[in-house]
Amino acid sequence: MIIDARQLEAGAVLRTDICVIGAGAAGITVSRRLQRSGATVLLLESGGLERDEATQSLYQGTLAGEPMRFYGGSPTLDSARLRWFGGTTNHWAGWCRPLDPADFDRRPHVPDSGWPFGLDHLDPWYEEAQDVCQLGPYRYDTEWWTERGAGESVLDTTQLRSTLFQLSPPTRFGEFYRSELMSAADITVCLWANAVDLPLDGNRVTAVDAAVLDGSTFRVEASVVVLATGGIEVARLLLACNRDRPAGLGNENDLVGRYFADHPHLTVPVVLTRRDLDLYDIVPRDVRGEASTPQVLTAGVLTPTPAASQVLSLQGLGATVDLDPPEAASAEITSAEVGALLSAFENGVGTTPATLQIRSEQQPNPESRVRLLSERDPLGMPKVEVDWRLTSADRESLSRGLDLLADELAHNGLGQVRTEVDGESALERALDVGFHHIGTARMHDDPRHGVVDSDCRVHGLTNLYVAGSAVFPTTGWANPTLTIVALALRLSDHLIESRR
Amino acid sequence: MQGLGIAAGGAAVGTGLLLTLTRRGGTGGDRPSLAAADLAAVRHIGEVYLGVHPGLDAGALRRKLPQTDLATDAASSLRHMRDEVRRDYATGDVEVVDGWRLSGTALRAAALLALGG
Repeated sequence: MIIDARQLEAGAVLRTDICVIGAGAAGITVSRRLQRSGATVLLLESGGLERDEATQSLYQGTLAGEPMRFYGGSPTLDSARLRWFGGTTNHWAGWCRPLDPADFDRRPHVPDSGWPFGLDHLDPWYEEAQDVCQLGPYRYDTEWWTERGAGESVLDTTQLRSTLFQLSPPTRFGEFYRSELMSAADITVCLWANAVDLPLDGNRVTAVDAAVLDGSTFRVEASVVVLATGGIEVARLLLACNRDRPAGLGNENDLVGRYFADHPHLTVPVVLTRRDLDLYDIVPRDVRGEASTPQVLTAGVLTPTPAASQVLSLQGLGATVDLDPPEAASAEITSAEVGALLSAFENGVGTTPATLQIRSEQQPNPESRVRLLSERDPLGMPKVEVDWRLTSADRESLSRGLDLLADELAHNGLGQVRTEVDGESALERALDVGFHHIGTARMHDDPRHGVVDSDCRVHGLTNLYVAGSAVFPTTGWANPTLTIVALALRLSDHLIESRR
Repeated sequence: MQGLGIAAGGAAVGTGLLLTLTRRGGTGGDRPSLAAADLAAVRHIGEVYLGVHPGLDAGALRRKLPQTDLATDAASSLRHMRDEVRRDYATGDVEVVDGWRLSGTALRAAALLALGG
């Protein structure tokens, strides 16, 4: 069922077993999973079924700290995220892969690293997340795909290994799952509803107070509340709910909003001797032996081996090749000239100018944070400032990783990399971001080190949970959506189990 | 241009290999031709490298390049040169010139070409 909050009577009270706030990838996944569990679900969404500028502007805030770039432009908080049914999946690019095993480990060179569980624990939910995102089988080893018609991986050495992304169509969660949610007997989707407060009774959230832009308010009484509003808005709501707890909910140890992270990206020119380093492949339709299986698009990635990462103390890093020629940059030595040099020593092989895009893991950094401003939005909610901070270790790791990539490509006769552009190295350049907002309600079983426990339940409260990338203790280098969906499925199963 | 860098007795060093690659109708599949424009490109890289290292002379560059016998076994000499270039990235003999992370061997050969020797 779908209801329009703008049509509710002022002061209305809705009742449900589980209230999910936010209809993006996480919120829609949780809601779908809870179908036929015996629980009623109310899924609150701030926007409608399409973009609305007044609602979208509720995302406005300020950026501080590191300058953020995205495809050469300067993003704003309301351009990075979308606030209508489906959330930011309404413009995501669909790149999917799980985190690597090392991303879950405590690593000496990455302070505050470590998840409460390892990759193998999350594997069953990752496997299910593949279908949710309309992907192929849960296989990310290149050999398996090569056997089934994908191209050969072109580089596997002691320093670098080939792996891949799978590309979702991309699944627009709001469109793809709309009819299922609307027709589900035990799910009510409530559009145009903005959560503004979470009143407490002791250590229990009793309801969600919601507001509509026209000024009316209503309440949702729920036994369980799940925040699925994204890495920035989760922190915003937890901090803003300070009537019963002055520091905000789950913030007794001043952790909410801290550890904000994105994936720093760096793009550099490269001259290649092999075009298939681009490694985009459409794997044959019958990869699973089923005629109806959609084709699977994979994209090759180069990433340091665990051994190389350990020796060089690298944070997570992955590189993809784009055969679009690089943007013109000042150069005394052009790509064509480097191509000629490369060709001279590589037996006259033809060369191709291309772009190498490196995405990296950001160290957990408590000084990188989301904080509330005194300025308020039209709903009366405090706006946010995102103060994104990188450490010298982040840049140094990125620099070492880039040198490793450059040297391995050249050592294997595959290409030459321009590691400095316009006179700036990776240590100095403004970096691009991925619009991946991570870590602001990080997971740790000790409330001194985390906002949520390993079940994603907010510390200090019995019935408030967080779904989404806000709970990631570390970022890895992979795009977060597949992990978001896997964790949402896991949380849902926990909620179902808890009800038994 | 032909024969430049080939010393008495037929022994040649790196630049000789590069110049060999420019000969039209070079023998064998292992010795493709470099177009004049590509040769100019390599020479330009050498000029930029020399600009960063103004004290280098042809003798110093030759001494740092692999010694090969072009006259007797051109194909293996070329492979040796290529292998040296690739090996530079494992041994750390690389330099960033105008942002490009390039092999020391390749840079020295290009510089020698730029010096005409």
